[in-house]
Amino acid sequence: MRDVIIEAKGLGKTYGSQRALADVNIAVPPGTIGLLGPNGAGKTTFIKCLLNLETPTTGNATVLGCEIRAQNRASRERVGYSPEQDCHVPGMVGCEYVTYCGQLSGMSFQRARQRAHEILDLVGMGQERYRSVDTYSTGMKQRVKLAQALVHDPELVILDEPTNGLDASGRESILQLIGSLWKQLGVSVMISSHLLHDVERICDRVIIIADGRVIEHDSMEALKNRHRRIVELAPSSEAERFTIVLKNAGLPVERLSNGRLRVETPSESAEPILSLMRQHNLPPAEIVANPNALHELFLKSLAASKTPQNGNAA
Amino acid sequence: MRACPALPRHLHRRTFTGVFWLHSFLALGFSLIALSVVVPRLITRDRASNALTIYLSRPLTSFDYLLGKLGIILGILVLMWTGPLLLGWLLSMAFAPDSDFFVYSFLPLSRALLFNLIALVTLAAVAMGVSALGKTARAVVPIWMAAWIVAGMIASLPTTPDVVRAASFSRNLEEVRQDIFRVDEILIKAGETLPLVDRGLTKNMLSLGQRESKRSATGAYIGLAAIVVVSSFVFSRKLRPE
Repeated sequence: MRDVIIEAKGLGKTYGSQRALADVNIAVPPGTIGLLGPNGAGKTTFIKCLLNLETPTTGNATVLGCEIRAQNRASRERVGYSPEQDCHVPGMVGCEYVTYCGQLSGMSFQRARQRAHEILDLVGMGQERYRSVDTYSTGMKQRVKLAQALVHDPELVILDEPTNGLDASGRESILQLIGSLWKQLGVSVMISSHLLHDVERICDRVIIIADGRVIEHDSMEALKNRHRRIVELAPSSEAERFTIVLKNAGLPVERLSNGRLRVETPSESAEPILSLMRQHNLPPAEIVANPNALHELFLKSLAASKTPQNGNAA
Repeated sequence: MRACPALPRHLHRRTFTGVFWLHSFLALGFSLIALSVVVPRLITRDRASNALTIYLSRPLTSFDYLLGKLGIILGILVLMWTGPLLLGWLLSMAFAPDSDFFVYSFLPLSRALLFNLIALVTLAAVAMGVSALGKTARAVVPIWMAAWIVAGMIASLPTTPDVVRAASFSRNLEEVRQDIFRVDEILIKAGETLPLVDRGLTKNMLSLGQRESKRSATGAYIGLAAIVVVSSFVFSRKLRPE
């Protein structure tokens, strides 16, 4: 098992006078990695540089131990990529297209054909696989894009906004599939998304990019622990008593519009609050530690990135 | 029995040259028509459907993609032009009564192949350049027609300046064809030696040959080189995922 799947040293990209990536230094271990950032932050440019779809202006990077410039082909042999925009080879039916993509990655026709059907089953494509990709709905196009990225058994899959255009159930199944890639198959995933909830749910590591710079890179757990501790609890009854008990314990409480209470706690876990509730015989219906932590951290990081002293995190 | 007994011996080679010249004219025309069908699909569709991203995110390079597309164009042109040319020649050699056919046809065949090679390079570059220009067939077809037919018509006007004339690849290919096959020599020699009854025809052949001999094809060669360079530049610029 590799210690690092992606390593960038001084990676930069400019388009004329516009800087898209600036001196990115980062070493990413295997796992499910979320790449976050606002629109135009440089996420896609970073991905394109890693895949040699864009030539970096400065610096270099290695993907799965291969230098992207010196080992151009080799660096992409074990990588799957699902781009954000619609892309397919026109005039092909779904299973032909996925088979063809397998062949482009060096698989024999027989092997690619067999693997294409397995992967199309995995992403939830039924008989639609025998229809032309040109006629697919947005959701089907997302699934077939994911299938072509996985067909050649890659070691790393890079997914750019993979849940765009999917309905709730489709999104759920795709997220489950992406989440299982690392846990069950050992395939590392880098997922670029602006949907923080999706990233929070399936990723064990997060990279936040803003203005072409990496401003945060750490495990999800470490990032959440760095954030102020918030506990959200839903009172089963007597909401007023809950508030009074928490306030008397010296904890800042905010009542939310959905009836829940948002409590700031000095502890890393929700255990002290649970003890307090037990003490006063007030069982909460639901208690969630650090809800929206990633969202708040994301906004905080973006605000911090706008200060001039900020550098890269590695 | 001797070869081509009806013609004087010194005209044998020129007869073959005339045949190959005519073949190159027809083959060029058919190839251009075939390319008109292919050009809107060649790179345009890949650009429109973002297939380039799919290709280039695999262990393939832009050069591999270029070779693939070049293979398609060359396949068509070989099928329409080089294949029939060589097959026809081989068949005629197989049924030739003696070795004179080989001796007299070899130089004209070499000339035909040289022109074929120049045309292959030019047409491949122009076809890929034009196909890379647009994202829809609707946009690419008029560009191809303008580059081939409109530019060719403008270049054929007697008042058109040489610089503008050199911008037409079809006109340049026409001039290069005349230069490679030395059509002026054929016309002059035929006018001087053939026992033609019609004196007007003889006179016309001689004057046409003399006019052709005065024409320089240097501008056409430079024009073709420039067109290939510009087309390759356009193609390489557009060969990037968007």
